[in-house]
Amino acid sequence: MNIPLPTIGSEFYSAVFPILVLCLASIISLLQGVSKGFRSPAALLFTLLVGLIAALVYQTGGYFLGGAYISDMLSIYGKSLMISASIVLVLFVYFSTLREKFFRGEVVTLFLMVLSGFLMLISSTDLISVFVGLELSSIGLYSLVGYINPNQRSQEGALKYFILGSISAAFLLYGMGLLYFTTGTLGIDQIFGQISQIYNGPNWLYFLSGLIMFGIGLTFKMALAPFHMWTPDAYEGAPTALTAFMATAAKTAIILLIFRVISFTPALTLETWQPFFSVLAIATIVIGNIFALVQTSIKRILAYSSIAHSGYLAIGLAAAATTSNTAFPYDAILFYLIAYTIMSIAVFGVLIWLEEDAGINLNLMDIHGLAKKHPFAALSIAVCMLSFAGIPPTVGFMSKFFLFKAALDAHLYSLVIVGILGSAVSLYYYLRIVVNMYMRDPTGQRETSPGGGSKITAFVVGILVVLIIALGTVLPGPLLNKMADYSKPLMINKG
Amino acid sequence: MVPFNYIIVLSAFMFFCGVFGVLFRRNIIAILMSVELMLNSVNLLFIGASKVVGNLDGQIMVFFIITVAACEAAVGLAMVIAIFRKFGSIDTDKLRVLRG
Repeated sequence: MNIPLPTIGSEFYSAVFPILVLCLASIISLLQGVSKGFRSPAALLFTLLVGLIAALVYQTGGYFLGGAYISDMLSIYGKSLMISASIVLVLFVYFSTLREKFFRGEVVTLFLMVLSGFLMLISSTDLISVFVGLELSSIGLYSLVGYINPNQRSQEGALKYFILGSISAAFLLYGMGLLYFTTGTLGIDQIFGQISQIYNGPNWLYFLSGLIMFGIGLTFKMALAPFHMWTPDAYEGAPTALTAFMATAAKTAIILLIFRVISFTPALTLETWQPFFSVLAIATIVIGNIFALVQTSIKRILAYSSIAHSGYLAIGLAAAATTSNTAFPYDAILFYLIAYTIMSIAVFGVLIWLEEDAGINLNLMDIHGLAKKHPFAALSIAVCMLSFAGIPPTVGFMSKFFLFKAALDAHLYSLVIVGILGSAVSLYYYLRIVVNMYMRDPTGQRETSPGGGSKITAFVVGILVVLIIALGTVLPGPLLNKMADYSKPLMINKG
Repeated sequence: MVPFNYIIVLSAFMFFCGVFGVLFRRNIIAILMSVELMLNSVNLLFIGASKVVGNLDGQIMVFFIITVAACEAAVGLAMVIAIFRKFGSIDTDKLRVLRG
């Protein structure tokens, strides 16, 4: 699949079709919420799935809003990944105890708005659409974290997320203001195309501080190290399905946005990005892995592991910012995002399934002896944990391998060493979960056996586990080659 | 005309007042007000920059920022009410359920 792009200046409503159809579905579900006959979870699931599948199936290339919105292969990659992840998560929620709480008109509306915000974000080439996409997704997420399942825990998480998120948005905006002042434009391509003229000029200090503040705003949303404080609280407070969505979709969207920024930077000045990402990568890997060691709540462990994985992705970004003439770092990151999405959704799917009977927020005690009570759930978690840690033959190993190879090609040896040491440390907390499931006797305070009605969840988790193994053994080559199609627009911008 | 340096200094001053407000105030309403102050300092920066640069893109951005700030305030105040109902206080020191 390769989409020819029309020239800038022609407008194509078909290019924004996925966002339009999601907005339409969100309005319909809001109306359903106040109607008499169509407010059942099944009816809302129908609207949701029709919207998501239509947005997934019909995607074309093109420009919109005078070039501020672009639909190229890269954004099609992001849209497909995020929408597929959403479809799977929605199914998980529908077959769990959260069904009545999630399938309410306003919650479905907010969820679709968040998703369309992410889609907007990865397609935007203008600071206004970046800002609108980012806020559309963030404001929806703040509300969803505290609203779906209101209790002290989730509302505290939502408030912390909200306050830190608004500060980061303000930083992002101030950075945008400074970038606009120094370059006189809001187009990302024009701003970053001008770096070489501004470099060391009279306005360089303003530009640099603008760039740093813009970067702080983005790295906050991606949960990179000094700005990761909100992640564990928001992840623990949020309902598990939403945690999975935040961990995967938010990461994908921000990474693809950073790709766009990097791809518009001319090759000569590209290396200005490299120290920025290197420092963040090291800090994130160290902090994420070390704090994960002392956690007892499983969701908190996964939150810190998600921070550490952002750090590994930052290694790839540093590599992409160093070697300008090869697409391999981009391909490796795109591969990593797919792998991370599959692993996260599988493990959170099992958690949704287990929490059905156990109330909320499992900790390490609750999964003692899970292998005896429910071998399939334990096996799925174990495969995901090994994959997170990067043990062959799983997709987690292959994705880390490609990422570190990209960094080695870029001569970033120190980053690779930190990355490998970080993976070694992470083995401790990932294997701790496996040991608790397989080698301890059930303590039996809380019941963690999956209840009825969740055959479909088990089936989907099974498919994902097979994918984790298959992508780690026989399929990584074809998938990586496929990624080259998606990273092509980035290289065209370079030329 | 006011020199642009004055505008940038004023907006940076407002912005950091907002940052310090967020960091050191314990009342959630005061924190929300500080966030609004930060967003308004950005508006000032954009309008000043628009004058210097000589196009209207920055002023269009300001309209978007005002709209989004209103949305944030709405969500934030709703959250304050929800927090007050659950915790009986809007002091951030009282929010200590999530730890670790």
